Amino acid sequence: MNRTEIAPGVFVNQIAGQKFKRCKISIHLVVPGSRENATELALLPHLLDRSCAAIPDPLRLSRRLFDLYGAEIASESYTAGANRVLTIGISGLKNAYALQGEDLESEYLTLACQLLFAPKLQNGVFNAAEVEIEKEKQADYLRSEMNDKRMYCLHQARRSLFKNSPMGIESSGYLEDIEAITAQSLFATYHALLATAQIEAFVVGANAEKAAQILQNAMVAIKRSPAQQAKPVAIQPPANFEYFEKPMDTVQGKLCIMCTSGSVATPRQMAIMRVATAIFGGLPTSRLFVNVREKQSLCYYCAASYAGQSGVLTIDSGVDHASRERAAKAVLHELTQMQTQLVSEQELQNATDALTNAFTGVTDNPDALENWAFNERLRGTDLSIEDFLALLQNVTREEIRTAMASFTPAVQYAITGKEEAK
Amino acid sequence: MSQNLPKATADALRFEEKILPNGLALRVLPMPGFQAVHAIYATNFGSVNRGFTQNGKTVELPAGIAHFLEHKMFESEDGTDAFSLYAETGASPNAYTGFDRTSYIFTATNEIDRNLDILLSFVGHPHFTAQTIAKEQGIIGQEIKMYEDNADTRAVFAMLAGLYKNHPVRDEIVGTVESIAEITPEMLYACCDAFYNPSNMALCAAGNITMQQLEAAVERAGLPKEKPAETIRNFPKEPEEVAKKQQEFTMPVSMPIFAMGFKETPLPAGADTTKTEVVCDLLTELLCGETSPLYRRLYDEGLVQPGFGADYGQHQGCLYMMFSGESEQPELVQQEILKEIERQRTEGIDAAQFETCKKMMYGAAISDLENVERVASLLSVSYFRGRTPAGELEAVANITLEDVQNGLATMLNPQKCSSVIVRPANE
Repeated sequence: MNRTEIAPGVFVNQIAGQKFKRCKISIHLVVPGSRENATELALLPHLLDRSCAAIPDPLRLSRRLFDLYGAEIASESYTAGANRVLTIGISGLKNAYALQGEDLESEYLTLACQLLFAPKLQNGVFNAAEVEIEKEKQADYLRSEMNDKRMYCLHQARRSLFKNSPMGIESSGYLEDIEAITAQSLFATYHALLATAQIEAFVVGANAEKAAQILQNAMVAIKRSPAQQAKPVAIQPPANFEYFEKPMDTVQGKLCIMCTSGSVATPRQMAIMRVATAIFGGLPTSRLFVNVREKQSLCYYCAASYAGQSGVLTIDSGVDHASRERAAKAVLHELTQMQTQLVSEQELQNATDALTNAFTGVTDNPDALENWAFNERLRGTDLSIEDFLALLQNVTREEIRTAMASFTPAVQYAITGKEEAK
Repeated sequence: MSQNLPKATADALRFEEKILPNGLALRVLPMPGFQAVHAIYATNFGSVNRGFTQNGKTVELPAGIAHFLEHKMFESEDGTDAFSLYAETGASPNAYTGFDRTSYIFTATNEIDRNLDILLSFVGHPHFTAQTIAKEQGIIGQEIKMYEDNADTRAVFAMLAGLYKNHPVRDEIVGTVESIAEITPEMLYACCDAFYNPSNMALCAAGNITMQQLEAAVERAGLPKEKPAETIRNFPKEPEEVAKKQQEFTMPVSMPIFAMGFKETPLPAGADTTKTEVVCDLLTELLCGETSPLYRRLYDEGLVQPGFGADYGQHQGCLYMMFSGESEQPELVQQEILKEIERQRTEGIDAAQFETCKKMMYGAAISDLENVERVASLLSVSYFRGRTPAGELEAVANITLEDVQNGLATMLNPQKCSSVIVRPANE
């Protein structure tokens, strides 16, 4: 991957992608996360991707994308560790597949820059009516969180554990903040973002020099004073294992247990925990899948995941209401086993092979390749896939036991049945 | 849209196919530069196949049996399961059951030949006992409960049950706790004999793989050389009218969810469905896709959420179109959809929008060709529908505005409409 700084805090990263049919241009803006502007920054992509000064009518923009053979805009805003990321990107067919010889790649680059840097304005700020439309949509989205019970349970567990940590700022913002947002306030936040963000543009399978030139031209009028990225803060274990329950009228219950190590993972620890998590609850042959689901039939799914920046290990499960306590005990028993006993050589080999397969496959997917490179940039480690695969090969059974032993169960959140609550 | 495809497109669509003497279809699309392989071993046996006749014997099946069989297929007589065999190669295996197919898959970057051996050895060689069936009923019972809490799934299946009185598409793919309780080892073995034989299956692969590797794996697997007795698939008679016009129920959701379906005339068995499917696909986009005036108006008036859209289903003996989404005013949105259908029927379809939608469909088809999973899936799905990826793209290129207008003239009849509204329960 080639990386070039084209302006203060503005980098263009090129990823080769000859074998792909599409090319992809993404512009990521990174700023330290803040509770105060979280909702405005969550709302912003919805304003930016619906129109721009050059194509002010959203219907025309949709048809323009279809004319570009269904090119897709990817716009999102999310928290990554203690930072906030706002992304505007476009992917679409390479020029070789155009039916009339069109220069599609230049069109994508131009359109991405128009959406991000030249929005549709009214009286020098965003269009007030459109801001109101998107505010209502964002409020509806936040209210709909309960519709997906699995995600709702995970989010609630996270809130109970992360509390006011900068790592716990909500990606989608806060319902109570939406009403106060105005076209003026949103535009001011947008302006500050353009001035202060670290900007990482990724070009996959297209001409990076041309991208750099178009990006430079689009940013020429912006006065830049980029801020440093925020460092991650590990979540500390609470004094006691805390239990929370939410009764809902559901057929199946949900159970989420979060454990903390109290430290941010180094690349080496990340590799160890990838293997440990695969053995614990990441594969169809994992301890949680085989022992809790298959042998004891206590749940339909039971999976583990690990977030290195916060040092949090999460287990989430779909359980019969009546089996919840037994399932929780079974999960914690499996955790204790991993903390006190060495995994088998076979388990280690199988997990390493599975992860090697999975990460080698990342090179076959332009989106996954870009995600890998950008996440490594966010972590400040810049490991290549090959570097990471080399780390994986050296993980030992003792390292896995030691890493798992560093976790303390911190929070258990359950969605229980309505009948239980009566 | 031009019918002369660029050389790069023609090259990307080129695949190899062989039909073996025992009827097994092999399809492969090598993808230079890719490291992974995605393989699919599939049978055209899905949830809508609920009755068949073989050797003069007719068998009736309970809802959910295809999905149940998929789960059980991973266990062998000696107690090992296929997941543990794949664990030794590092491959990522899975399986899924749809309305008219069951597919067993793996993705891997290493030991491809060994992974193919595992795939061909466990699919079609299951072992069932009353005890292992009882255990699986518990696990699938949990899966069924998970879907019962999903309001979108509930709305769609309620709508299908509203459209169809008898056709098995009305039943959930996983069945119910009661229906899977009827499953016996004998039924499962009968399904294997009828549908898990090479003449009813296809092995498709994409990525870093060749046809020679597939052929060698089939040779090593020692699959039956002869075609078995013909299996006749039985479907109940389905009346033209819908079963229920309207349904409503409550669930713990934040906003009402709606699903509105239209029962269409099914295509005869064995007919080429390509053109009809392209017409349906285009109609969904023209009527309420992001390039439609209706979508933009309903979105900006706050009447629908971003997930609002349309889809169609074409399975053995049934064809339907459906519109679904979230709205505080679901009845009003459904009226607006009916009005827009009528408006486009009367005023005609916007020719410019039609052309842009065709370009989008071309772009989507080419985009899929850079992904090993999607390419293998494309080979498999198109095989069971009796066509090729290039043929599908050709059908898009050849479709005319008149074709779609003719489709709209005969489809989406309000008299054959069934709607479902899921309202928020009072917490």
